Amino acid sequence: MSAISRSREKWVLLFPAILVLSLITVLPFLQTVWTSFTDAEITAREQQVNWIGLENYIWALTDPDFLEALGRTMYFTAVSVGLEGVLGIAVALLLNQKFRGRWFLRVIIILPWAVPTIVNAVAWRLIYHPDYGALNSLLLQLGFIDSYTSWLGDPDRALNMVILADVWKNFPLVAYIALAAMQTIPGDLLKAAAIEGAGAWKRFRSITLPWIIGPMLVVLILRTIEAFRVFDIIYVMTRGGPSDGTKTASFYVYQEYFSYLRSGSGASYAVVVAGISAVLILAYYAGIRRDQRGA
Amino acid sequence: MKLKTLMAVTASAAALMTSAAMADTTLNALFMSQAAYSEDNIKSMTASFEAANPGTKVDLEFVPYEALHDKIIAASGAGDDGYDVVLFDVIWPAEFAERGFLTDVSDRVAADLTSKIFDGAWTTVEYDGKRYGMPWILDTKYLYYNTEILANAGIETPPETWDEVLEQAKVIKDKGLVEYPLVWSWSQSEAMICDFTTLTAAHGGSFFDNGKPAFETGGAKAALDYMKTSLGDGLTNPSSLEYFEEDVRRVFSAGDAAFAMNWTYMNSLVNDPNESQVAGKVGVMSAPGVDGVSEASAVNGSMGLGIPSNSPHADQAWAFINHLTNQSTQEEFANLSLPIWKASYSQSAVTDGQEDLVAAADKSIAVMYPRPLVASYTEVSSILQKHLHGSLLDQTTSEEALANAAKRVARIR
Amino acid sequence: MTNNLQKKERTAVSSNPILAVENLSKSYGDLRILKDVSVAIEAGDFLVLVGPSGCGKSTLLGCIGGLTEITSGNIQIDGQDVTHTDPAKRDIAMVFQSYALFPNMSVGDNIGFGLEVRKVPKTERDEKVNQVAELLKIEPLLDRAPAQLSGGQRQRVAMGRALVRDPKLFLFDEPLSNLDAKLRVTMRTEIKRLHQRLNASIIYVTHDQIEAMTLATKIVVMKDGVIQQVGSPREIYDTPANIFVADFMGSPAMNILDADVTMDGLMARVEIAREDGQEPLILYDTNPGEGITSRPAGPLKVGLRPEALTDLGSRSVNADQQFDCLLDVVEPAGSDTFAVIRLGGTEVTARMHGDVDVNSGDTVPICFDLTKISYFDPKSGERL
Repeated sequence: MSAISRSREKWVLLFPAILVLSLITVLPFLQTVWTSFTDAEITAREQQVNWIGLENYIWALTDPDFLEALGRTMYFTAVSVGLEGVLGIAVALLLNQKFRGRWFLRVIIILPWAVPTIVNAVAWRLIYHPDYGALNSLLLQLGFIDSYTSWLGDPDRALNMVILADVWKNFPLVAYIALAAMQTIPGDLLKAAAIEGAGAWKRFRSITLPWIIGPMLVVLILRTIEAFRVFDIIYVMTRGGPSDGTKTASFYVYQEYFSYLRSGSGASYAVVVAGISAVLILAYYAGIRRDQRGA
Repeated sequence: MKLKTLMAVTASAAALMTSAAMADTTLNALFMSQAAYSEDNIKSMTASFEAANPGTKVDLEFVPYEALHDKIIAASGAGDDGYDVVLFDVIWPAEFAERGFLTDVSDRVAADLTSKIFDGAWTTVEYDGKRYGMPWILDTKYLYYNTEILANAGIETPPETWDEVLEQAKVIKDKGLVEYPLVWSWSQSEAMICDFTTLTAAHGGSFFDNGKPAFETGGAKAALDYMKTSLGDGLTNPSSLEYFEEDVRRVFSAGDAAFAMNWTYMNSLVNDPNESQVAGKVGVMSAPGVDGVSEASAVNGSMGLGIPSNSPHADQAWAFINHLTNQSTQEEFANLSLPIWKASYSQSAVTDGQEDLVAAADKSIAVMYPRPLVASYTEVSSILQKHLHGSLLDQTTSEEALANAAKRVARIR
Repeated sequence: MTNNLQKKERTAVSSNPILAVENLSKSYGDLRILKDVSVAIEAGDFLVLVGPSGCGKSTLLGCIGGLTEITSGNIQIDGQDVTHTDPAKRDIAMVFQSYALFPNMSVGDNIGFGLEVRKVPKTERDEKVNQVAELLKIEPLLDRAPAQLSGGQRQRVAMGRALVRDPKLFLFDEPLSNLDAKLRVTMRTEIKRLHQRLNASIIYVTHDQIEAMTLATKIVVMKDGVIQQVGSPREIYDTPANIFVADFMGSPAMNILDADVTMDGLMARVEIAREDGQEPLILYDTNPGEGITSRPAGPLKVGLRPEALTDLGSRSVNADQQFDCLLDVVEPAGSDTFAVIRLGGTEVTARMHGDVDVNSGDTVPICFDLTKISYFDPKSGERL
């Protein structure tokens, strides 16, 4: 078979998949971008949709509330992904040691991740309840607080508590990938380091961490992209409150579309959020490429 | 031979099914989960409708209030598969009418109905001179109080002004009877705006004046100051900033509050020994007024039933709505939601056992104050919620909060 | 600053052996890997632990290195009890079969890793690394990553890492097993040269008995967690302690045959049966050891190395007993030709000169040299 016909065959075979992918992702995306340049609204009546160029975008990017929300979203992403990374690797290190009942721990650790986001959010909201939440009860009994506190009542604290709930749900994924990567480390490597005098921390820093950094970057990118678009956990736990303290960028998309029925404007917010996600992806990608080449 | 029988059977089955399909209509109806009536109540209302109208089935769906608005919007794009009957809040007709989500039913309403139903009830479904449904739940918030706590505090009569509410609360607190005598639903949500509206109305304020924000000064500012004072003085339960109406009911039913603002539905539940620890010790009155400004105050929290514009069964839907809103149905469930019919209030079936409530309703319904009847109300409310909540959290003064809100409202596209 | 890679004067600072293992046992639950093992070496010894897979030699090495906890017994390095000491503090270095080079560091950093951990200042560290690199001829590779090196180069880097710290004891765990045959021979010589030059104390594990014979000053043969014999290569080769050692060491293996041995005056009369109705082979051992003279007559197992059965032309002075034997198979191997003969109920290999002109099926005279004959108890396999 000649090279040309083999190449053509490749495209013929790929074509159905490309077609489906385009219909599901590319076309809706293009439609959203188109809408973002108009003043379209959600209405059952006939409407005249006008092209208004960048007006939606200028509005979005000069809206102090939205810019605040973007900052908040960056904070949420950085802290939650950071905590997931640290906690995930720590738990993986633990699960990599030999001890009785390790298999059991390894199995149940996946449970938080397996729970649907909404269920997780509802459960944590109950735990945080100011009057009968388990967190208040536990901390009071342990003597860490004097009286029942409102965890979701203060804007800054609420955001951190939502981050905790999100980290809880997602760290098992990071832990599993880290554990799988750790198990591919040749035993001799760690033994050699031990003989050379490296303590547990040095062994982790010099051998384990560099070894697992590849898969870790991949999973952390995934988590970053997801964290940046966070919506459901916020919607269920706080609806964006208190005092807009937990309103993230995605919330604005929801708001513009469903609450204010401005689809053109909503589309522009959506494109901004997607755009920033894309920048994050590219930055990570460049980081990995550089890391691989340097190795 | 076998093939012929098979074809005959198939043909007759098809004929049967189509004829059955033509006779049977299924209506999709969207309701709210804790709206005055319980789900069981609505199911029994529906059952009696189905019994009276063979050939029509109704599929009921219940959602929390927060989801109601979005579901109606989303279903408007669903063509024939959307809803046929929806429950909507008094704050939405402006928005829905502008965008054509609801069918104009002005022509369907019989002419004599207008005088038989309260004017306040009609405002629930009217916009720009047209009617977009039938009022169904006539509701406002009343001031509930714990008679036992008041008696123990030596208070003889319930408060007649909002200032008196604070004074009495202080007495109760100082006597150590309840740590936080007042409890409200002040989470960042529409529930808080309802309380704010009541207080604004009491202080003679308004939201808009000729299309411009008028809530930076006057009665609205006084209302916000009132709310902040009650928190600052330790009279309002600080957890109120996270509460919805169900939380208010829970706290009040546990005896942990002396005063609470809530809708009609709470009345029967706090007097039910299975649901409440303060059964029989509850008084209900219309929310008080402000000296020299008002006698009583109330917010219009009613809800109506409408037909989405994309419903293919408008006639059957209207029949269902009529059944739900007719006088006998309303009187049957009067202990959960007071009827929209003026005549009902002389029926003992309605007044028995809830004379206080009826008397309060009499006063309150007359002064029901609407929230801004603008198409962009959702956005206005959202902005107000954010800034009011921030001020209640003591992040801003009331001037700052309202000024910021006004600025932002002016920028609404 | 002295070049610490110069040959050490092993003046006895102490009279302690550099390594003393006493009654070491290691079990994993019910599975006993090492059973009461004791061995000691002096400074400068090259000890090889050899045996088949699963005999426990790597486990023993791991215990000496501190990577495996022992069940009972103790280990002393240079007089200090290190039974419960961290590997890092035993002053040992290890070279692994897989080299265990740190993939994310350069060769230079790999070699200097142990020094860096011990907070040796950079200039001193670099100097030592360069010295070692020079010794092993890997200077041009110092900035490369391990992934860019060949097997042999990685081997040297691993050795460099061990050498640079100048430890009391070097532990090698089958370091040449991953190399191809030719490279293995080259590296073997390198290791031996290093040993001689540095007079280092080395414990070396291998399953290859040729490596054992060529490198060791002392060999420990192990089987199933038990030491079969400890001795110099010559001792192991000439006087194996039991049939297992006799068979395992030396290539081709020692021939073990059934024989009937009786005393005839001061000589031992060795009668070996043959097949096909042939007359049995009668050989005389002029200098049998105590174990035979004091023993009652009876069937035994005798061991004769292939070189004890030769052709006429290559025979030595001592190969003075000659018999005609039928050659079953003839295997020319270059400088030698091996022939398989059926004797004593088994197949026996004779080693003849490579130039000899014989074919399978030929009957040729074979000369027997009994000076190094070994006698084994047929039941226990022990040397008599």
